[in-house]
Amino acid sequence: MVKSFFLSSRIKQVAKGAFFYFIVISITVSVVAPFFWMVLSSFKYEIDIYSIPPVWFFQPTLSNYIYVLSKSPFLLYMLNSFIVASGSTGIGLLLGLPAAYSIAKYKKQGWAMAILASRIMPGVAYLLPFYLMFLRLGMLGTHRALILAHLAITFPMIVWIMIGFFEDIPSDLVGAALIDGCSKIGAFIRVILPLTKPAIITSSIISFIFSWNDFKLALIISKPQTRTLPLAAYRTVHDASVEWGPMMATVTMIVLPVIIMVFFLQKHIVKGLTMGGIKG
Amino acid sequence: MENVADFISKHEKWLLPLPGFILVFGILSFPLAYMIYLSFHQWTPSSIELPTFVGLANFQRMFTTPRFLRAVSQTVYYVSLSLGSQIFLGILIAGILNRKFRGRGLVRTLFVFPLVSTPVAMGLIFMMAMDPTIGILNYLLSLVHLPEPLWLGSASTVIPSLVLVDTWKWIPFVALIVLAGYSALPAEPYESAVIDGASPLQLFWYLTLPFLRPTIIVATMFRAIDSIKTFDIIIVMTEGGPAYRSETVNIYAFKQIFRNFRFGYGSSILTVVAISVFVLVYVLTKLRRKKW
Amino acid sequence: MKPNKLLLCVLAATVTLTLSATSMAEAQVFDWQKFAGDTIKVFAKTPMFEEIILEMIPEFEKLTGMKVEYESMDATSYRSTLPIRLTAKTTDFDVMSTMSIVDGLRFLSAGWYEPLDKYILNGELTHPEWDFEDFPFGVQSNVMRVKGQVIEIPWETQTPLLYYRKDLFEEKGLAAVETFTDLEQAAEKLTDKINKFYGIALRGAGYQTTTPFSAFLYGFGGSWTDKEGNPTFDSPEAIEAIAAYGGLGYKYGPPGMASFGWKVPAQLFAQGRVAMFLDVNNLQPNIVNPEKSRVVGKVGYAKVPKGRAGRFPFVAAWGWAINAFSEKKEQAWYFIQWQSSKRVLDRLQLKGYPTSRISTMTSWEFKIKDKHPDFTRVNMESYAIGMRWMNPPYQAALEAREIVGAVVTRAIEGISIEEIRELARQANKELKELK
Repeated sequence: MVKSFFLSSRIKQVAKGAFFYFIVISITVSVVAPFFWMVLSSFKYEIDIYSIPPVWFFQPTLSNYIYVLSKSPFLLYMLNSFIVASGSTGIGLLLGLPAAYSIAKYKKQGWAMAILASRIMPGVAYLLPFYLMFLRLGMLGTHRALILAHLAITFPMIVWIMIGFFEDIPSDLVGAALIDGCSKIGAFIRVILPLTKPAIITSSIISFIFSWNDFKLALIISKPQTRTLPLAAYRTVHDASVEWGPMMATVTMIVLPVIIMVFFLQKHIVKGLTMGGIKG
Repeated sequence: MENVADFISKHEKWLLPLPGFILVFGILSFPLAYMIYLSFHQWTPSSIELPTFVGLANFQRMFTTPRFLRAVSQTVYYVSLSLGSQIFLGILIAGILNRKFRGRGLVRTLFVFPLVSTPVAMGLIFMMAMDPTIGILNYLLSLVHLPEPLWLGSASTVIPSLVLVDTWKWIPFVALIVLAGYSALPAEPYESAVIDGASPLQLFWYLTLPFLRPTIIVATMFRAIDSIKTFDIIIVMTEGGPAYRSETVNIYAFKQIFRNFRFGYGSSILTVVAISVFVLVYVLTKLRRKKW
Repeated sequence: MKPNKLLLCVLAATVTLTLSATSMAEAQVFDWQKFAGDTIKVFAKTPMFEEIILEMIPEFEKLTGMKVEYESMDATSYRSTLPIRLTAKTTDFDVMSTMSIVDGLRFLSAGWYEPLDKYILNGELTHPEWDFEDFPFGVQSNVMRVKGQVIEIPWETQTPLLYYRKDLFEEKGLAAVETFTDLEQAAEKLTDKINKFYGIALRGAGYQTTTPFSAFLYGFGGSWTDKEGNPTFDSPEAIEAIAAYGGLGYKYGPPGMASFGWKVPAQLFAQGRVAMFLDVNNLQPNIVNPEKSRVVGKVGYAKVPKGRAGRFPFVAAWGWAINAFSEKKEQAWYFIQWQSSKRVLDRLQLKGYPTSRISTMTSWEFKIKDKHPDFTRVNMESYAIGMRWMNPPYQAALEAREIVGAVVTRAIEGISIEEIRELARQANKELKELK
C-alpha cells in the first residue's frame, strides 16, 4: 500500500516537472524561434531565405555581413545608438530616481499623474514640432537633441516603474540609517537603492531598449553623422524589393549588443528578497 | 547661512522631482501646444499659406466621418485583444521565469529578444512569414493539416494577425516588470501560509497576485497607453489595410498628416487620441491606489 | 561581317570626333568650373542603382570643383521627412528627389519647387549637349512638366508592363497577351490552385493599386476625370475596369492578394508561384537576378493589354528637383544636369535599367550589350505612347489614390458588381470633395 502511494506521488512529481518543462520549452520556442530563424537567415544567400519548404542545410555565407558593414557606416550608427541610449537612460535615472522616491514618500499622486500624462501624445505629433524646435535651436543632428527627445519617454517610464518599489520600503529603514549618522543622500544611496536594485536594473534595461529601437524621432532629428541603428535597418528596404539577407544581418547586429547586455544584467533582477523554494 | 544639503532635504518634496519634471515638460510643451493649436485650424503646409482658424470644424468633421468611427472601434478591438493576451501571458511567463530551473539565465535573456528587435524589421519579417502562399506560417500549418488563414490579407483576420505580432513583441515587457515585482515579495506571509497548509494555487491567488497588483497595473498602464499609439507594426505590415480594416485612430491621423497633408484635421485627431489616453491614465492611476 | 564592323568603327570614330570638336567650340560660353569651391547638398530618395550616382559624384566634383554632400533614404521615410523639412523652409539641401506625378501639383502650389525652365534655356548654365529634346514628348509632358513648368528631371522612369512566364506559355501553347480578354484566358488556363500556382498576381493594397489599375481604367474607356476635371470614377467604363481587375484577383490570384503591396507580386513571380504579374518596369532587375529569383531565363515581357479604348501605359519618374528655398540653385542645376546627362544615363542604361533618353536607349553600345532586348523594346514603346496618369490628377494625389484604391481592394475580395457600383459612387463623391 505504502509503496504504491509513494510511486503514484513520485509519478505525479515527475509529471508535474515534465509538464512544467514542456510549458517552458514551448513558450520559449515560440518566442525565440523568430530570433533563431533570423540569425540563421543572416548567413544564407537570399534565395535560400524565403524558400518553402524552409532550407535547414544550406551553403553559409558571410556576404550579407560584409555587404552591410562595407556599404554603410554601421559601426558609426552603433556608436550613435549607444551614446543616445546610455545618455537618455543615464539622465533618466539621475532625474527619475529622486523624483520617484519623493513622489512615493510624500504620496504626490498629482505629480505622478502629470508625469505619466507626458506619454499621452502619439509619436506622430512630435515629428514636425520637434523638427521646428531643434531647427530653431540649431540642435538638429546633435546627440543632445535626440537624447532630450528620448528623455521624454525614458523619464516617465523610470519614474513609474520605481514609484511602486519605493513605496514598499518601510520608512523606519531610512530613520534607522539617519540615526546611525548617514546623511539623507547617503541613506538614499546606501540603503534604499540596493533594496530596489532589481527594479532599477529592470527600468534601465527597458529605457535603454526603448531608446535603442526608436525610429521615428531618430529619422527626424538625426543627420547622416548621427544616425542610429534602426535607420540602418531601413536602408535595406528598397523600392523594388527588400534585401532580406542584409536586413537579417543588420537586425542581428542591432539586437546582439543589447542581448549580451541583458545576459549579464539579468541575474540581478531577481536577487534580494526572492523566496527560493516557494512555489507560485 | 543654510547648508545647501539641508536646504535640499527641507524642500525635497518639491526639489527632487522638479528637474526631471521641468526638463520633460520643457521638451514636450511646444509639441503639445502646437498640436492643440493646429487642431483648431486648417492647414496644408506650404510656404505661401498660413493656417486658417476653423474653430471646432475639425472635430465636427471627425465625429461624422464613418471612417473615423470605424477606426475607433477597430482601435478598441485591437487594444483589448492585445492587452488581454499580453497581460495574461506576461504574468504567466514572469511566474515561470521566477522559479529556479536549469538554464533560467539563458531563457530569461533569450526572452528579451522580441522586445529588443527593431519593430520595423520584425514587421517586415512577420509580413513575409504570414504570406498565405510563400510564408512559413502557413507552411507549418499545412504540415499538421490545420486550416491556413489569410492572415493580413483578409478583413476578418487582419487585426488578430497584427495583435499576434504585437503580443509577441511586448510579452517580455510585461514579464520583465512583473518579474521585478516578484523580487519584492515579502517572505513571512508565505511562510505562515505554507504552515497553514495552503496549496500553491491558493498561495498564488491570495498572496502573489495581490502583492503583484501594483506592478501589474504599471505594466498594464504602459501597455494600454502604447497600444493605442501603436504605429510601427501596423504601418509596415498593412498600412491600415486591407481597405481601412486595420486602421486604428493613430494610423488614420498619420495618414491625414503625412499623406493627405491635412495638418489641422490630423492634429485634431491626435488631440482626441491624447485625450482618450489621458482618461485611461486617470482611471488606471485611481485603480492602483484603491484597495481591493 | 568583318568589313561591316570596320565601317561601323570608322563611322563611330568620325562622329565622336566631330561631336567633341563642335562641343569644344561651343563650350566656351558654358563653364563647368563656374562655381568651383562651392558645396551643394543632395537629399535623395534612394535611387535605383544608387551606386552609379555615387560613382559619378567624384567625377562631377573634379569637373566642377564643387563638393557634394549626399544623403539618401528609402521612399517611405523620404516621403515622411521631406514635407517636414520643406514646411520648415529648410536650406539644408539644394537638390531633392521628387515624383512629379504624385507630388507635383501639391509641391508646386505650396511653392516648394524651383522651376527649371530658365536654367535649361540659359546657355550659360546648361551644357549645349545636354539636350532637352532627347527626352520623349510623353516624358516631357507627363513627368518633367507640371502645369507647363519644368520641375523635374527624371532618373528612374517608370512604366507598367506585363511580366509573364514564357516557358509556361509555350508549354500550354498560349499566344502572347494582347487584350484584356487574352489576359483573362491565359490566367484561367495557368491557374492550378491545388498546387498553389496562380495565373496572375496584382497589387491589392489600397492606394498602391492605382498604379497597375490605371492601365485597366483607361483600357476599358474610363478615365480619372472628365474634361472639366470632375472625377468620373463611377462611370460604367470605370466600373467595368474595377470589376475586371478585381475579378482577375479574386478568381486567379493568390490568396491574400487584397493586401499585396507593390513588392509582393514581383516576389511571388520570382519564387515561381504565379504565371504573370502586371507592374512597373523597375521591378525587373530583381526578377533576372539569379541570387534572388528562380525564374531567370523564363521571363517574357509584353506591353500592358489593350482594351476596347486602346493601350494606356502611364509614364512617371522619380527624378531630381531643386529646393525652392535653396541658396545655391544654379549650383544645384549643375548637379542635376550632370546626373541626367547622356554620359551618366548611359551608365544606368547599361545596367539594364530603361532610362528615358532616346539616345541612350537606342545607342549602339547598349544594343550590343542588352541582355533583355524585348524588355527594352516594351519600355521604349510604352514611353512613346505613355500619356496617362497613374493616379487621379489632384493636388491631394495620395488621398485620391487611397479613396480609389480602397474600392479596387474590395473588388479583389470578390464583391458583386452592384456593390462595386455603390462603392465607386461613394468614392466619386469623396473625390469631388477633394478639389
